[in-house]
Amino acid sequence: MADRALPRDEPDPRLARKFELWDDLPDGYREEAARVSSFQALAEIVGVLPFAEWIDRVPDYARKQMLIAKVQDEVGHGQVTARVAEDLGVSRDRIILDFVEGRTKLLNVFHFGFDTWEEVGPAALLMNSAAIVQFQALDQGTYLPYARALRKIEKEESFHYHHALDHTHQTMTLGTPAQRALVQQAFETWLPRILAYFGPPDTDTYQGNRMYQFGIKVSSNDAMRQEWLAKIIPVFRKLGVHVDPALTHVDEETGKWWFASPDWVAVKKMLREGGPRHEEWRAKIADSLERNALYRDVALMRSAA
Amino acid sequence: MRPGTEEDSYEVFARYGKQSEPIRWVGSVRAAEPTLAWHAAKEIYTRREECTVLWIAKRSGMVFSTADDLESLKSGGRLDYRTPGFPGRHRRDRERAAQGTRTGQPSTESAGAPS
Repeated sequence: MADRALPRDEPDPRLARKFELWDDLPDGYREEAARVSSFQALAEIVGVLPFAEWIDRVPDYARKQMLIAKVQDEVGHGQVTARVAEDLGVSRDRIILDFVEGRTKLLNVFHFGFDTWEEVGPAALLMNSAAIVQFQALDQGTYLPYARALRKIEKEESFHYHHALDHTHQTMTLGTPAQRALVQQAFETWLPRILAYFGPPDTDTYQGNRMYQFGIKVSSNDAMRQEWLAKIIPVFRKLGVHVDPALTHVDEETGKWWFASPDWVAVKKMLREGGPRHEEWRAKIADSLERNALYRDVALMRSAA
Repeated sequence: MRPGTEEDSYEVFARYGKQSEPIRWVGSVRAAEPTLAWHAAKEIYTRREECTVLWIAKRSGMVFSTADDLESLKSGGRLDYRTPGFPGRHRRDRERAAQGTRTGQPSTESAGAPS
C-alpha cells in the first residue's frame, strides 16, 4: 500500500532499536512514551462508561455476562497501560485528575453514548475492529513495556470483537425490520466517527513527527484507515448491512478505499467543547474519585487512612 | 544493580497452561499490601488464560540489573571454558601442540578457533 512507508514484513529501520524502561532513552522519548500510555489508560477507563450504563438494561442474561466481562477487561487494560505510564513517572491519579479538571481531551468516540441496545452491537464492532488495527500497529513499536501491554490487551479485544459481531448478527437475523433499521442507522452514524478516530489525514510532514520518528507511533493515520476499511466493510456487508457507496467504496483506479471525509471542523470543535455525553462522563469519574477517596487511601495506606 | 524502590508496586509472575511451562514475569500491579496485590494480579492477568501459578513480589524487595551489569551477565564470551565445545577445542589444541613439537612446526591455529 502506498501509504505505508514499508510493507509489514520488511524491517523498518525506525523500529529496529527497542527500548526498556531502564535503557538510556533518547531525549524526549520518555515524555512521548508516557503520553501515549497515559492517553490510552484514560481512554480505557472512560471508554467503559458508555457500555457500563447498559449492564442493567441488557435484554439477555448471557449478553449481560459478556458485557460485564468486557467492562472489566477494559478497566484491566486501563490498569495495565496506567502501570506503563506510572513507571515513566505519570501516576494514575494524575491521569484521572488531568481529565476531571479538563486538562486532557478524550478521543472523539468517547464523547457519545448509545441510544438503543441495537446500536451497541454495530458501534462496538466498528470501535473494536478499529482498536485492533491500531493496537496491532502500535505493538510493533519501540517501547517494549507498552508493546507488551498491548499484546496482552489484544487477546481480550478479540473477544470483544466476536461478542459485538455475534450481537449484531443476532439482531440482523432474528430482529424485526425496525431493529435491523437501527443497526443500519448505527453503522452510518458510527462509520464517520471511527474514520475520524484514526486522526487527521497524513500531512506531507508526518514522518518528521517525533512520536513517529521514535517508532512509538508505527503506522500513519491514513494507512490504518485503509487497513481498517478493507477489514471491516466486508464484515458489515456479510451481516446484511447496506454500505452506501456515498459513504465508502473501493476506488477502481487506485484500488484504495475512498470514503466521505469526516467533518474535521466539527470534530475539532467537539473535541474542544465536548460532545453530547462528555460532561456526563467527566462528572461520573469526578464523582467516583471523590466517593472512593477514603477507600483508595486505605487501599494504598496513604496518610488519610 | 539497583534495588527496587516503589513501595506500592508489585511484580507479577504467572504460569499459564502445563506444569512444564516456566513461571514467567507478566507485568506489575499497584497495591498497598501483598494480598491486595495478588488479587489485583488475579483480576488483571488471569482473565482468559488457564493460569496455574500466580506469584507477586514487592518491587522494593527485588534487585534489578542495570545496563552497567550487561557485560558481567553475558557468560558466552567471558567464560568460554564453560561451553560444551571447549573441552574438544582444548583437546585438539593440545594434540596440535604435541604434533608441532614432534615435527618442529609451531601450531598456527588460535586456541579460540571454532571447531
